[in-house]
Amino acid sequence: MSDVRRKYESFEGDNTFLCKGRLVMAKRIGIFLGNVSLLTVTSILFFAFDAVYLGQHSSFAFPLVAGILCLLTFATLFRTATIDPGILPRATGAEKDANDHENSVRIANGEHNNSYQQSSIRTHTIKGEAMSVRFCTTCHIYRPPRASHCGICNSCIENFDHHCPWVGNCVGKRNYRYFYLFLLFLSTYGLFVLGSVVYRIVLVSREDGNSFPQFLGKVPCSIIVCCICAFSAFSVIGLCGFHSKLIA
Amino acid sequence: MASARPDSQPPRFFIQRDYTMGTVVQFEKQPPADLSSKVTQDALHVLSDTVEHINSIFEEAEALDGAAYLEGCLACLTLCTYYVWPCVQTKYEKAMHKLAVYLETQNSTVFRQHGMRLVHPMERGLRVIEIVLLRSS
Repeated sequence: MSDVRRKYESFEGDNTFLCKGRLVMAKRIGIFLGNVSLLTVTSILFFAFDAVYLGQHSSFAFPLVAGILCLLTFATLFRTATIDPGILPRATGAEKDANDHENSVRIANGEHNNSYQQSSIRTHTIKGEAMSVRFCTTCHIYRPPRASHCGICNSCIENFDHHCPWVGNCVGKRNYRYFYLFLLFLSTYGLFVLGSVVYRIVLVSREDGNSFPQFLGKVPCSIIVCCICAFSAFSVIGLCGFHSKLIA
Repeated sequence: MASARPDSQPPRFFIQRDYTMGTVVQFEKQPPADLSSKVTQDALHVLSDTVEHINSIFEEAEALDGAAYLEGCLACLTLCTYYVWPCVQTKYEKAMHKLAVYLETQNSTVFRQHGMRLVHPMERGLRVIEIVLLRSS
């Protein structure tokens, strides 16, 4: 009986593989797990207290919309975090030899950037404009246009955007749409939760004419949720706006 | 571009990607220069036609048509879980399977008589189409 070895077991980059190679993440996923925990805790606190209150005293739309947004946020986060962002496999065998040979020939001809003389340049004409691509000495390939080598994942990634520790993965060709959707849904969810929590606090403060310190004691979790949302919302919304501008 | 390997290994040639239209997956229709001296004109012509067909399969796979749109909607509705359902194959996966079948057919019929074998570009990270020269003509 042959010993079946899956490709991920001999993969040379720095990645974490889960579920027998079906899930691909970066090597260190501590910040990602922290992110998930924060989102989970905030969501649980919101749904346990504020959503219930608003569902009873205001409208069922609050928990419903929040629920949908929450599910979409987690789904897109999970999808961004666990799929292959567009890793270019390293060249092996004959292709590696051919590329190394071409690299050394080009270096001998002087076709390299003086700052890093180990790697040469190939020039392509893309839609009428000249563009040069560089040789990657780790992966032994000439990178396609818009590809870049991620030092953390130690692989070349297609249409490389950045390595996001919050998501625990690189953001590249294959998961950019899920990353953008995650930012979008998280911003919307965060704003909706913030708005709902503030509305709940206002409603509670109006009933029975409680004095200021007294009613705060009735809504401790709401305050916590409110603070978390307020602090994290700004950076997420900022990033979302930045990527929207990139896409537009 | 050929690679110099020990005599026990057959020589290999590579058809590089054609980036003139951007990052879409297309391969150069011109056969590699060093292969031209090793095979017949007939073989080169067949190779050119094959690469053109491969390019059209990729164009179809990456096209943003109704099927791609429906897939996106389905992904949103099922919260991205539909990708793991065993019964569902995405449009791209179907196209890659079609390409594999096409290459298998071409290799076993046309290219075998010319002493060549093409490797599926997915095996090489969609960078090159590798041509293994089993014998020179």
